Amino acid sequence: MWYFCSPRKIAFGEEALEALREVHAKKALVVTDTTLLQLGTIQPVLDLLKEEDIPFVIFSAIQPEPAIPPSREGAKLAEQEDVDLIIAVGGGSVIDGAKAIWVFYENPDLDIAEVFPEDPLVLRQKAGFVAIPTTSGTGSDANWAIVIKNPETKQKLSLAHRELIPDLAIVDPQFTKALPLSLTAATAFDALTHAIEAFTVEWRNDFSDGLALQALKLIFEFLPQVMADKDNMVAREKLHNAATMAGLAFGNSQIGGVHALAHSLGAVLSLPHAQVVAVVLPHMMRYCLSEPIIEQRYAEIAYTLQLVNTLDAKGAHTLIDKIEEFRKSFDLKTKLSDFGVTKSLLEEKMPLIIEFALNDTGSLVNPKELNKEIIRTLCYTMF
Amino acid sequence: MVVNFPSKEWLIKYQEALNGEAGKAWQEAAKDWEGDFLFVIEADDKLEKDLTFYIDLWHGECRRVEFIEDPAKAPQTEFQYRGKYSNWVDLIHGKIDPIKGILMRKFKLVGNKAKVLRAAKAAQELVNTAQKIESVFL
Repeated sequence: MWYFCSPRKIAFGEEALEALREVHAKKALVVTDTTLLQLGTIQPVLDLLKEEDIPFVIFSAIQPEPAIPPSREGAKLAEQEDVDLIIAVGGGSVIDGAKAIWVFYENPDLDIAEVFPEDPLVLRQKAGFVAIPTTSGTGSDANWAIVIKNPETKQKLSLAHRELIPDLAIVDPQFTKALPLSLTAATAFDALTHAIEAFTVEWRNDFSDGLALQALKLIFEFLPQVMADKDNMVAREKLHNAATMAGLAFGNSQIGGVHALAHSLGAVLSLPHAQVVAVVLPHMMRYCLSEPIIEQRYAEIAYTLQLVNTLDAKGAHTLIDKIEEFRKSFDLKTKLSDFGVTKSLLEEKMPLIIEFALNDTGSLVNPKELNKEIIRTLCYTMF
Repeated sequence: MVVNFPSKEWLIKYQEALNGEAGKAWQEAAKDWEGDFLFVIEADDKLEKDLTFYIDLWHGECRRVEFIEDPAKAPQTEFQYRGKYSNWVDLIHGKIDPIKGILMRKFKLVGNKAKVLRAAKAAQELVNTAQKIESVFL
């Protein structure tokens, strides 16, 4: 037995924000970050809340690669203001940080590390949750996951609970209109990785397979179009849909070794998530390729994407080559040293990188077993 | 030597495996682990009555095991991992992993789950080591 879970409603496409009018609330907490606030990206949400006479307060202290303390602060604000709706407007960091606010608001004494899928988690007693992604990457708007850093241990916690799936996801391309191309490419690579891992990890299933393949088709077709013309809103809409579909896919399957290692590298070396995912992806794919079932699965992706005409092993290699070609053409970083990481720093931090990577649930379900030596080798290969 | 699962002999072999060459990966992954378990193998159409393994794991060493036939005599432990006999067989054969087993409601974990999740690799290696024992199933 397995489950397929999703938000109660996903509003997508042009003017999807209108779906927020259907939500009844006496007061909302709008969670975002300072950049989006300054850029005015969240203004359409604020305007709509004003039109609907829903009072709101803004919490904008969520940082990139979110940590627990700001979310605790956000929960205090939610408590002071007695809100009954939390609206996350931002990328993965904001949505994950807002989910953590929701958890703390409803469970002030809970150690968030104890959130476990099969244990009770009280939510929706005080507030509902709406997610509005402003990047086409995270997928957190449509799934049960939170990735949040514990500053005491430096570890990124990957938590999951079905109660954490937003009530409403608003996947409106207008929020990605001003997204710089560099971020568009990096976050799309995160979505691409979600789909590839959802399709290949040990927990893959029929439902996640379908979503993952369609997400990949959309990303491969429309990411180049957006990169060629950042104002192509049709392509941006398709890319935005793809990210949410990939989020549904991995939320109902799992992420794998790419994310396990990227979480670890991101936490230990303070690297931005989406960009480090793009570095790890082809290396982990090559490592997993020796598993016949995975070679077959990569080949199936390549065939679906019409990268090859026949369903055979050649497709698996073509897929990885194509991903590397994409990465290069979109000016994404390809090595750890591109982030300024030095070899001595990598060596110094290696024990912690290995420990965090191997104890990430993504490692547990990776299609090919990971161990200390493999993580070390991959890190040096990526250097 | 082939041993029956579940049995006292199997449990002794398991302790030997964890502490020996077969358990090297577990020893490494569990070097910081402190905590004892009850593995409860619940009766189903193949197993007549519940059986319990007591396993004391400490810093990459399996310090003590005990085969408990009467569940009432089981000691208090930090963790309990329990499931039906047929699910244990699937776990040992690698058909399900220890975390997915919980999510599929084939197993129940009692105790500080966050601590177990932080040691996911050690949990996986506990199962990998069990797979190395030549076992006969009911």
